[in-house]
Amino acid sequence: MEVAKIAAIGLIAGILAVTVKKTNPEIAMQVSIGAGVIIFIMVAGELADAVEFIRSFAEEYQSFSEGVGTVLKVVGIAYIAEFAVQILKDAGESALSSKVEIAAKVIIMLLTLPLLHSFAEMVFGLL
Amino acid sequence: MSVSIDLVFKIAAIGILVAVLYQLLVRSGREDIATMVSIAGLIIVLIMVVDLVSELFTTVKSIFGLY
Repeated sequence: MEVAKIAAIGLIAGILAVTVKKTNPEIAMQVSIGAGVIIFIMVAGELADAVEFIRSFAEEYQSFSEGVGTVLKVVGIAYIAEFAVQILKDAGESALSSKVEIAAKVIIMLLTLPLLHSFAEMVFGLL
Repeated sequence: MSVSIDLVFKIAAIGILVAVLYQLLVRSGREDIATMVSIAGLIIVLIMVVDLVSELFTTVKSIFGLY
């Protein structure tokens, strides 16, 4: 039971973080970072399988596969940024977290602009 | 799986140990050493967590094809 294991890890880490938070909140933050990473790495194998399936599925449709690659990159960037944002918000640094969010949005926008360009080309080609 | 829940226990144990040592040193009138102890604990934990976070980021990068 993978889910039960993950839920147990989450609960135990939460209890430990709350226990440590009273005396030193900076270490409580690190406990929650560690638990978050461990939980992600536990499901990373399954996630890799799912992403691989999507990729092989997209390979069958030639015009589709470029877009799917970009979408997956965006998901990866969004996940990394969201990880940092949530931890910063938990630590009470919401100003810094919104800066991280904006930076991630800029990078995602830059990544998706070529897709927008090819879309515009396709639309104006039809007209 | 190269990482385990032991690391979380280790971090929390360091947190509790540092808290106890801090209280002990403050009560015995050594505030300067108490501050040093809490900074040292933070750095030890930070080194452990930085490795873990870098592993997370390389995993996410390899899964989603970010290079």
